[in-house]
Amino acid sequence: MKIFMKFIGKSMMERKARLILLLFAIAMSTALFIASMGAVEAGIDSFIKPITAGFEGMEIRIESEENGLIDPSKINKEGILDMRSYIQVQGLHQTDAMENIAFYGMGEDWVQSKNWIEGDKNSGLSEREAMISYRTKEELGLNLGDHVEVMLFGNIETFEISGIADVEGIFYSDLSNSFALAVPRETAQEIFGMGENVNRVTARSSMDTIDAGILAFNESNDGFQAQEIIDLDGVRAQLDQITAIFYGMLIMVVLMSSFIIYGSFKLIITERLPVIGTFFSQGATKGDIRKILYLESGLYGLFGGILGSAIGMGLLYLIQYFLSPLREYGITGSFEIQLDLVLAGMVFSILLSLLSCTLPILKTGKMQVKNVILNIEEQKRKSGILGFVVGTVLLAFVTATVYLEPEFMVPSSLVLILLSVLSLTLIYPRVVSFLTPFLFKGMKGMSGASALGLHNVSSSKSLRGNITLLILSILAMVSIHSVSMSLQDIVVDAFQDMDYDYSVSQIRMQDKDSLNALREAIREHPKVIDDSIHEQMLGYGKINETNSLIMGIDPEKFADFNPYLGFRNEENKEFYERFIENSEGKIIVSKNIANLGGIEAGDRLPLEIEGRTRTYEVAGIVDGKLYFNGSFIMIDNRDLRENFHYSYVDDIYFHGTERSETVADEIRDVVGAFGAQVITVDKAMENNLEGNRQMMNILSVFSIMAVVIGAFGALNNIIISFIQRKKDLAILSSIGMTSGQRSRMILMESAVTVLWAILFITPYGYVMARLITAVTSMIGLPIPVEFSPVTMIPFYIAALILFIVATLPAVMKNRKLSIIREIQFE
Amino acid sequence: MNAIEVKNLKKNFPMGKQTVEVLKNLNFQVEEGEFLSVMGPSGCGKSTLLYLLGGLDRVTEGEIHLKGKNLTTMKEKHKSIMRRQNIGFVFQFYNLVPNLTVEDNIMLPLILDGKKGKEQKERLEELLEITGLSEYRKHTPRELSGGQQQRVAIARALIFQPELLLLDEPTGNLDSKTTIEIMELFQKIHKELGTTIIQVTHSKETAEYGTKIMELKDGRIVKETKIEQKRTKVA
Repeated sequence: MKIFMKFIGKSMMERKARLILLLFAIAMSTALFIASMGAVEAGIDSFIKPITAGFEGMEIRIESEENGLIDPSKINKEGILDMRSYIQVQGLHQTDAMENIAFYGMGEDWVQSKNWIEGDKNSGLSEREAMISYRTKEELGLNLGDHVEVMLFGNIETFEISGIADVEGIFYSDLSNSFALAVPRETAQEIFGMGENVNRVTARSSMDTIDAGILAFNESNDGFQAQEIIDLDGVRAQLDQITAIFYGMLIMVVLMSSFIIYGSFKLIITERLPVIGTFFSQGATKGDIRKILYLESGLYGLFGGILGSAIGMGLLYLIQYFLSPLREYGITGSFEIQLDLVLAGMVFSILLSLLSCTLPILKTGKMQVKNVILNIEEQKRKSGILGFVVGTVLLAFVTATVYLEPEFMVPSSLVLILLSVLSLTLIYPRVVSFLTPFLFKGMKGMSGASALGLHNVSSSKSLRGNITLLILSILAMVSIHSVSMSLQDIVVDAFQDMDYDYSVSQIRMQDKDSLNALREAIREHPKVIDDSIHEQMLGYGKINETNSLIMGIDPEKFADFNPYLGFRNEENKEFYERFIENSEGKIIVSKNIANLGGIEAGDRLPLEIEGRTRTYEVAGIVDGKLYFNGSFIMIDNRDLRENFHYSYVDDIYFHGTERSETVADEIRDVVGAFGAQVITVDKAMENNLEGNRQMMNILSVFSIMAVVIGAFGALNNIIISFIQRKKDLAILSSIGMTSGQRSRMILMESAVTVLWAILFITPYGYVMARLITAVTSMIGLPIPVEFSPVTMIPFYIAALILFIVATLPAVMKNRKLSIIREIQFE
Repeated sequence: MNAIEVKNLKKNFPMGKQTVEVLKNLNFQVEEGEFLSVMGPSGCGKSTLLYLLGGLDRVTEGEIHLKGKNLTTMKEKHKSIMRRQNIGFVFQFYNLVPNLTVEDNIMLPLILDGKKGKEQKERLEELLEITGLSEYRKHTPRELSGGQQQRVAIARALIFQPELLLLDEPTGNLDSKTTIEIMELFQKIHKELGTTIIQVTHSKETAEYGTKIMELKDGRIVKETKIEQKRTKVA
């Protein structure tokens, strides 16, 4: 065994370039595997940390079912413990920058629980004293003794800073433009005239689970409703959509890597035939030979896995870093190396390596021992016709599926992508072989060397392998690019159609009176067209065991306000009319939710929202497209208020007498007093596009990796093909091919490889676009992806340049080719 | 005029830290239309000499003149063009391009030269006829026997109607019956086309197809013998 290990070790080190390529391919696949597996948790950490920190470890929030105010003394503490009652409203810092202030009225126990960095903890906070965080002190230059003016519901209140606390808890999310400021609860109650009431109550569950605590509380309390602070499932579901795309890209990268490993092992075995023959002659069995090869493959997997795990953890760190809202303050959540992921990565890399080389290794069993010992190459000419037929049938099936759109298309879209890519790789060798003689004939009179280059692509497996690599790399790029372009078009179109100029948000924290005051302030603003005002309420509910976003709307105005959903179209018009006429007791369900819950138009179903249940008739099913990820239930705002006691509004949309940033600023002066934000529709579109761009950038990393792996694989194949054909090149030289002609031929081979790949990808792109559309529908982000060959031209040119560059080492080697050595030594 | 003139030719090869003198000060001429057989034991330098004559390798010292042109000072590109147009090479292991058909292998020098047209087509037909390969024209080399592959190599060497044919052990890989067929084909080419031929061989029998035998030993010419044409099978 020791001698075998020595042999394997030396064999691996013999060809350093190949060792690097194999390790690189395996490592990249493993890294992406780990990144895809860990992205959800990394994302959740980044999203949730600021929320959990803000609630200081509490699990449950308790709300009043009436006007939003809570008298803590009336709460039955069944199912909860560590109850904390306090006041929280939004305010504005009275400076030029008008920073947002999360204004807290906190109890004495909370004040004492904080880690005071500056100030006298023993004295605590007295009437008009406030506490800020150390970060706010640093960012805004505020110090002990300074006075802070805060606008609260239109009134300016002044507080003196007498405590500076550690950046944790409610201060965790402090930024330079928004920060938390805490005063004694009693001071806040006095300012707002709330008596003994508060507007925030949080607690921990006293039961085994949070749900059990919530259930126990809700059963023992009338007028109060407990809910989980963070809807982890909801966050996870949203992140799952992104990771589904990660997995799609992972499949591409893994396919390319296995192709590279497969190709490399075929070559390893061909090169090693004389040695394998020697082993056979000394009594080794075929099993022994397989064992050696598998061991070698396993070692590549092991080393590639170690490397890949390290890179994967790096990627996860980056994902967590870039998803962290507080990264610029160096706060990114704690990053821990997850051993279970590393272990999964190692298993993945070793399996990837072992499985990819299985085919060539098994083929050694079919070799005649005598031929191996004598190093006689067994010539079996394969026509490839079977592969071509199978590939054509598969592609025809996939093409028919994407154009006929049967029901199974969406759920099986990932499998269909795999099948169609496989079919392409089965079809193209035969098509290339069939067309090449005609092209060769036409070209050989024009440029002999170029004609030979064209011909070589059809006959060299290594060069043909590059077409596969190119197809996969370009597809990875095409997918991301097409999705990105289509998404951008959709967002721009949707926002251009939206019938509003300004939207006011961040108004959820208002109590009933201040909300009414805000509404009044907007309505009375001279630049606001008051009859255009449209309010939107958001919440979460459950229908037919399916969780869904609940979207409260004003039915009279919504169809014109949001033409994106097409309620004026023929297919939706009729049921929407009915919904407007008598919206009471009616809901509209989006297609995604209807599919998930098996809901049909006309169904009468109980709808549960925050613990209350009412029965509704489904007026119609609408294709939600990308609006709120295509998953929502629409209900009349009045219904939400009356039947579910909704007292808050999420967004207010309206037209202005004109649309400009100046008017937005004027409106901001008014709504800012309520802690609310106003943005123009153009700015909202920009923000949306920016958000999409960030997601696409993360995805681009995957596609770039696919291209890098492809380029390395191609470089390897070009050099392998050069080494394999050194003798052929020497023969051509012996009969008069000049060195320049040889270089031209090699460059032509690469150019032709790219051209073939483009020729196959361009028509297939249309099928691929439909498949990607299906994948996006499957993951609940339905994007009608369009394939545009014209926008692909830069990618094609980039592929051509990349291939020409990858060919240069072979061209350089060609210059040093010794004709005599290649011809003389058989 | 001499087809080839070799003056003070030396060729050394580095072998590890040492230098091996393979050809030691050779001087000889080959007349136009001559069929020279170079013989000698393994390692005597006969193949090296052939490659030097074909411009595939560089001399260490001395000069080689092909029809008056000094090969030793010629640019690589010109040497390639000369190999394409004026010299035909036939190797022991045929050295065909495996992925091209018989037709394309034969036409290779023309393809590389950018030639096309009816004339070339006629030449191809003629050579396929002479070598008896007409029915195999669309085959690839791996579908042919050794003898047939060597015929393809011969046809390729003749496509440009070269003045000089260089044969490196052309029958070294063939059975005795095929050897006779191939050698008779060379004899026919020599007689009918008047092509100057230089062949390198181990076999005395094969050497005797030529008009002159030059024997090499340890890098030196040890004997030159004129041959009377004994074999008269070719009419």
